[in-house]
Amino acid sequence: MRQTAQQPGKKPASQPWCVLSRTLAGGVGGYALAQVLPVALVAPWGLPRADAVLAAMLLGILVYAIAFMAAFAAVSAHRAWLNLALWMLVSGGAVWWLL
Amino acid sequence: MTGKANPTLAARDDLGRSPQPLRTVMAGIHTWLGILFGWLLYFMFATGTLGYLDTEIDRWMRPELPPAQYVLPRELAAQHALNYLQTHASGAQRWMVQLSVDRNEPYLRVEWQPKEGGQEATSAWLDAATGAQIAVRETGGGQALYQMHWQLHYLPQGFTEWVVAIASMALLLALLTGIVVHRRFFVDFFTLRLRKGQRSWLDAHNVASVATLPFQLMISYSGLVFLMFSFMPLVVNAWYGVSPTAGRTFYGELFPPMAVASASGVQRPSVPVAQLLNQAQVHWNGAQAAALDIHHPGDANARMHVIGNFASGPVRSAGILVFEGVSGSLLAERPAWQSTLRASRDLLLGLHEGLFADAWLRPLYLLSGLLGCVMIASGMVLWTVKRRQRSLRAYSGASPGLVWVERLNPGIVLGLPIAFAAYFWANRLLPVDMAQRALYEVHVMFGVWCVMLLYAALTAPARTWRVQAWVAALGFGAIPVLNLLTTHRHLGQSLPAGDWVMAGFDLGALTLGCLFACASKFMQRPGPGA
Repeated sequence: MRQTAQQPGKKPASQPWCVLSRTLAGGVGGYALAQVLPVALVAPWGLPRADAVLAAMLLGILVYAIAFMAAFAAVSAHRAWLNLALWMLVSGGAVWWLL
Repeated sequence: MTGKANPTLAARDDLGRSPQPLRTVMAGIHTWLGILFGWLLYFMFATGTLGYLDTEIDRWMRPELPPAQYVLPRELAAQHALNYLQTHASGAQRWMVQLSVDRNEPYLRVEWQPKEGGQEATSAWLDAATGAQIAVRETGGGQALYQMHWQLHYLPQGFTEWVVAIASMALLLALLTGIVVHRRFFVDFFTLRLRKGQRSWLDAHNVASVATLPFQLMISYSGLVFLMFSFMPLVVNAWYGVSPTAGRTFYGELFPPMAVASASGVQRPSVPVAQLLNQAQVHWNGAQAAALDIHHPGDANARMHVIGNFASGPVRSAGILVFEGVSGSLLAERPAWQSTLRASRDLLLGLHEGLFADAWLRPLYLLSGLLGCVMIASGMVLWTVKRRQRSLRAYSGASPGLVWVERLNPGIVLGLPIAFAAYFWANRLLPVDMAQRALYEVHVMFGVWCVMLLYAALTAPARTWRVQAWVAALGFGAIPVLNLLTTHRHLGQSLPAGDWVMAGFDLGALTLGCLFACASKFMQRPGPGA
């Protein structure tokens, strides 16, 4: 990767770790969220369960894509993980309560 | 694309807190997902695009088959098929009959599953008019190419499913981030500045992507829908519990088995097939059956499944009726439309496969797929051109990564079509009675691709682009000659006979050869870029 003009006060070595951290947050965390958040969204519809699974999976693909981009758009890698943890907690709680 | 801003991945650095605009961040994701998955996606797009011509390629690779005939009454063809199966597969546990229906299923074909489990099904092509078997050469045909776009090759299925799912998600992300990065959709749509180096590659990338953006979004999303049962198993667990049988229960509810029975061992004559086909036609308000699936044929517990046409519309679904084999009474029915969500899934699968596409829509599918290949190839080249110019400006040497991508790009982009041409040549040149012939056709294809990649690795990129474009021009351009020398269904016969599938393949290959020749001439002229 090409080295760019460094911002003052920024450690060059920090960046690859941030990228890795965000990639993990988006790739692995987003993957987990994609299987929990849609379940919470679909559960209240009262669909037959086979149809509910289909609906949640169809939504899950979009949730994954959005979560991945959000991990990189967040202010910092820490923030990306924090956001993800909050979403997981809220949707996980909703799933536990609804199903 | 991004002016002076550098597409680094992190939005705002965690320590320096220098804010980078969202577009820059998205450009970073776009670039890196693109370069990491570009070659794999190019392979998936190229083989998948050939899938839109799968049955046409099937036909060309089986020159023994006559032009398709759909005019016969289906009852007669079905009776021919059952007579054939009665003679050749009387002890089988399952018979399948595919009637010659349309472009997707142009031939009367039978398949049977032997009684002993684990044995592979056998199939045969029949003349719809006489019921006689048509001896065809063993070939992978268009289906082998088409299946490569998600099965890849030489790799275990469980592994490729994940690789393909991740690549498809990478494509979806590259498209979404590309939309964020790209601001001037309508202006750029009409902008193609040739021979301007990086600018030309960017224009080509933009035109190809923007023109087919709805198609690309549909194809990546629906591609993931094909794989979602495998890569989102936890969703099933949410409703079906965590027991190991949860997945099987889910499938059982989604695709309920219909009127299952085990064989009685007592032989009883079955009801005439014409009666069942007519009954189905009345049941479906005039729509005709496309296939039969007979469990325990000839048994007292025979079950006759009459299946409608899955390609009758964009929703990839068909009605299924199950009849009692001896009495012909209707036992079970699955309607084409079961619920909104099942239909949504079927619609996405149907749009992806494009089986419903007629002679007007099919060329559009083909064009969109080809432009998808152009989108990926131009993106890969753009990546190298941009970095090459930067390294020139900075008077520093190019990184090894850049040199490798520069060299291998033509070996992938042109080497793969050359490998396709080799696959077609192998079909005509390998001995017809060769054992495992279909397997060796594919070996030839990948072998030739390896040679092209090896050549590309050892040669300066500009030369590889030129030389391999010539090889591709020759490989495709000479296909009508090859066909003339090896079969009797060459252009001199197919054109006067109006055999448009055979003639279309030859003429299409010739056109492709001319295009590759033009590309090679274009690259020979001095000019920046490429």
